[in-house]
Amino acid sequence: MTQGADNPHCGVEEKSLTKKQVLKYAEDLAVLFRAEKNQRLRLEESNAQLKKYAEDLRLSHQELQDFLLTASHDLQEPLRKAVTFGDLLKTRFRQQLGPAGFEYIDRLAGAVQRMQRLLDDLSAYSRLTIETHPRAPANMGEVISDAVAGVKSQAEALGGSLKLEIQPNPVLEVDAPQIGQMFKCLVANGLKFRKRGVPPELVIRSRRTDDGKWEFTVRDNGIGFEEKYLDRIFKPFERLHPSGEYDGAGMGLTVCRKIVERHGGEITAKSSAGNGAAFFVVLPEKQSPPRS
Amino acid sequence: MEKILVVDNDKEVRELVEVTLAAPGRRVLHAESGKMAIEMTLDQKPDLIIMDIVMPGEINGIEATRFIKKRQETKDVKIILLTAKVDPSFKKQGAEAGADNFFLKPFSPRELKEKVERTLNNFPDA
Ligand SMILES: Nc1ncnc2c1ncn2[C@@H]1O[C@H](COP(=O)(O)OP(=O)(O)OP(=O)(O)O)[C@@H](O)[C@H]1O
Ligand SMILES: [Mg+2]
Repeated sequence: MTQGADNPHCGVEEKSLTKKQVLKYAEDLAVLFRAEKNQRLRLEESNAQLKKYAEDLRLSHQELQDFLLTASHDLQEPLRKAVTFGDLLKTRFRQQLGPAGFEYIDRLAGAVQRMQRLLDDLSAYSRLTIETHPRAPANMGEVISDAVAGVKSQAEALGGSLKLEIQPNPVLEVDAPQIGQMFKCLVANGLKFRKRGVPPELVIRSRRTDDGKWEFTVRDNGIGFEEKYLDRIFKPFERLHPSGEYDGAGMGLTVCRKIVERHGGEITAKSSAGNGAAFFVVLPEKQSPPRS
Repeated sequence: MEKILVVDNDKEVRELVEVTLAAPGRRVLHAESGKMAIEMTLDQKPDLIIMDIVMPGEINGIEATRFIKKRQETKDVKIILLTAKVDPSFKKQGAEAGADNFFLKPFSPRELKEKVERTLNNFPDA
């Protein structure tokens, strides 16, 4: 800003601009405007490009989801045939099969059934991104108590309890059916992985975090799990406990995590073998512009 | 609508400043003396004033700045003082009067734009 030095005539007394200065200024101005215009054009161009990338990404993601949905649907068809022919074998070839043959066919049917469940879960998972509901402010106390009512009566039937300590009770902008499904899935796990001979005690709590979000805790007094496997339990079809004792496809927590992430939140858990488990879900109060 | 008031007795300077700063959503107003600058500031409440220190008439740029920065209803208006001479006493007086920034004449259009953006956004001078 020391241009005054180039212009010794521009003193205080003689302060009006010389022709030369005005001309120079006009030239500079033309250069500046041209540069600004180019910059604007470049910016518009890269914006358009970015938009196109985002759209392409959205489309290919959508295609993948659609594919998953159709694939899991189409795979059911041959499985149904296998079940039908297994039944036919059993009824028409009863004599020839004998008890051992019968048992093999039953095992076959069992395996097919598991496969069907896996496919069901897979399609439910891919439907998640397709079937969304508009986000609207929802009273979390109500959303949660509606969603867990069924599990609560099961827990009580087993001599245990499910307590809601949603205090304070936040109103959050959420896809309520999905968030309800997530809580249901968490308490269902709490109930399923209970200790033998110990009545299941489940508690859901809420609290406001320091950075203005909401944390929900779902705690149980069940068998727990070793925390070093924490990463695995949120992955599709991952299960830590033997399927003979505890049934399930291993998709529950995968779905939970997906729902939470779609709300811009986070889910994690704390546990140790034999000491119950606690799942932590952090959700923002308001949703930033929709994500897919 | 953002308003910028340019104060200089030289019409050519005012016009150069106006074309440089013209933008959608912004109006550039003119005043040709310190007295007129005060009247227009009270009347129009501009966001920013770019004002020459040396002007003929009873009120110069420094006095106008002092007046504007003392009044409750105009004290938040940003002021850039223009001077054609590197005179430290001007800068000192201007700062005491409450000016937010200083600018040497002659200046390039790019410098003017940057100075204005910085002052409007409360960025200190680079
Ligand atoms: N509350 C819990 N206590 C102990 N282990 C748990 C608990 N919740 C989940 N797990 C472990 O994490 C694994 C994955 O859980 P997830 O809900 O995804 O699957 P699942 O319950 O086995 O099957 P699905 O939910 O699909 O019926 C479980 O198999 C179990 O080993
Ligand atoms: Mg589960």
